[in-house]
Amino acid sequence: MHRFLEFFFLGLTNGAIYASLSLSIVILMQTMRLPNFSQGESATFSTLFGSFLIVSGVPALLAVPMTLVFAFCWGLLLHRLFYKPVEHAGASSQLLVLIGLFLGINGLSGILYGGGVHYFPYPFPKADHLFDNDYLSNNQLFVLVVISGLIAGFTYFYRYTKLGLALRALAQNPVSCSLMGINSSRMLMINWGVAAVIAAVAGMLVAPIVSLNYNMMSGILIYAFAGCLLGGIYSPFGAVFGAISISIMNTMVFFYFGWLDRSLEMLLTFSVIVVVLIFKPGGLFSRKTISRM
Amino acid sequence: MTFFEARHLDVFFAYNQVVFDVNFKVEEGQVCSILGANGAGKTSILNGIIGLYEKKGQVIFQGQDISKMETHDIIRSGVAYVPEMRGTFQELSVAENLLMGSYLRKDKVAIKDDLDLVYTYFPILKERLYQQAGTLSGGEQQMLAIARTIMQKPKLLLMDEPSLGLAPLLIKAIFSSVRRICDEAKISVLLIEQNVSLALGIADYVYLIETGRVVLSGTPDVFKNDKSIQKAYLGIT
Repeated sequence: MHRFLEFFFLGLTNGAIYASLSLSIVILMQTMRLPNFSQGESATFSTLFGSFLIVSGVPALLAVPMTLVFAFCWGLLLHRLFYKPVEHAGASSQLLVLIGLFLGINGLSGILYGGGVHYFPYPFPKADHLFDNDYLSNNQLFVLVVISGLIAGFTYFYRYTKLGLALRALAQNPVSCSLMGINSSRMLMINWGVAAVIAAVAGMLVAPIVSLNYNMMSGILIYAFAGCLLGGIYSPFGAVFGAISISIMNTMVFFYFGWLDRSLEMLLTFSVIVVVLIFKPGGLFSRKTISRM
Repeated sequence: MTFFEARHLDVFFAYNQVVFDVNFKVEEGQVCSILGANGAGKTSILNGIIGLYEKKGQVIFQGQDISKMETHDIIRSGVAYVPEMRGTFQELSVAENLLMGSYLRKDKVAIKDDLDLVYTYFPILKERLYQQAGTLSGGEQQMLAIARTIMQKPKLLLMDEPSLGLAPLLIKAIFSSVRRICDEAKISVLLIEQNVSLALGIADYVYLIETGRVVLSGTPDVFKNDKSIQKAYLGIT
C-alpha cells in the first residue's frame, strides 16, 4: 500500500507541476487562438533569474516574489516586443514568431547563464516527512499546496473579478471587447504577463527536482502540451485535469508493470491522447458553443 | 457645436473603396437613419466610423475629430455600437454580458439604476440573467445587445440593422425601444436599416445611399411622398 501511495503522490506532484504550465499555455491559447511554445522557456528564464538572485545572497523568501514580478514584466515585454508587431498578421506569421521565441529564449538563457547546472533550493530539507509518513515528503506536499492555491486563486480571478471577466470576454470576441471600450491589445499583454507568472511558479517548483539548466523545461513542456490536448486546449480546468491525469497514469503504469522500460512513457502518453482525440477531438472538456441566429 | 458629423467620408474594405465622399449629420436627441439596399455600403459606413475599417475624411463627435482614434478610444469618448451580428459574448451569461457593457464605468449607483432601466425595457432579460447568452433567441440577443449599450451610457448609439433575421413582432418591439432609448435615456441614435418603412416610422432624419453614395436626404415625410422611393423601397406602385 505504501508503495502504491508513493507512486500515486509522485504522479500527482509531477502532474501538478505540469498542470501549472498547461494552465499558462491554455489561458494564452484562449485569447490568441495559438499555442505559445515559448511558455516553458519563459519559465526557465525566470527560474534562472531566481537562482541568480538566491546564489547572489538574496534570501529565498524575497527572491521568489522578485522572480514572480520579473516574470510578469518579462511576459509584458515579450508581448510588446514580439507579439504586438504581428498582432494583425496571419496565423502562420504569428506561429513563426512564437516558435522563434521558443528557440530565442532558450538560446538567451544559455548565453546568459551558461550550460551548467544551477542551484535552486528545495523549500524544506529533502528528508522531511510530515507525521513520519514514508510516501509524501514535505516538499511534495508543498508543491501540492502551492499549485492548489494557484489554481484556486486563478479560478477566483478568472470567474469573479472584473479583469478576469474581461479576459474571458476577450477569449470569445475580441472585436466586441474593443466595442466595450477595452483596449484588446493591452488586455492581451496583461494576459501574457499572468501566463508568464504561472509558468514561473511551475519553473521554480520543478527546478530543485530536475537539474536547473537552460533546457530544463523541454521535457516538461511536452507533458504540459499533452495535458492541454487531453483536457481540451481551450479549457483551463481541462488542462489542469489533463496534465494531472496523464502524470498519474504514467506513474501508475510503472507501478503495476514494473518491468516496462521507462522510455515507453512518452509512447504511452501519446497513445492515450490519440485515442481520446479520435472520440473527442476537442479534448475531454471541450465545450459545445451554442449560438443561435 | 456639432454633435456628430461625417465629412467627405471614404471607407475601404479589403483594399476596395466601398463608401464614396459621404456627408451626414446626427443632431443631438434625434434618431437619424441611413437606408439602403444590400451591399450599398451601410455597414461599411459604421465600421469605418468606429475604426474597424480603413477610412478617409473627417468624423466629428461633440466638436472633436475622432477619425484618427482607435476603436476603444472612440467608444470611451461616448459612442456605442451594436454590430450586425450583435457581438454577443456567447459563452458568458446574460448578466456578465451586461456587466461588460458597464466595464469602463465607476459609478456603482448609477450602474444599478441603468440595470433597472434595462429591465423595464426588456423584462425578458431579467428572467434569463444567468443563462448563457449564446442560448438566447436572435431577438433576445438583439435586446441584450441594445441593453448592453445602454449600460455603456453612451451619447451616441450606432445600430446596424437591428431587424435582421427577426420575426416581425420582435422587430416592432425593438424599434419602439430604440425610440424610447432616444427620448428617455437621452441617447442619440444612428440607425442603419434595409427595412425602409420601419425606419421611416421612427427616424427624425433620413439619408438614402446607393452603391456607397448619398442619393437623397430629408425628413421621413420627404421620403414618404417621393414617388421613386415609394416604388423602389416601399412597394407602392
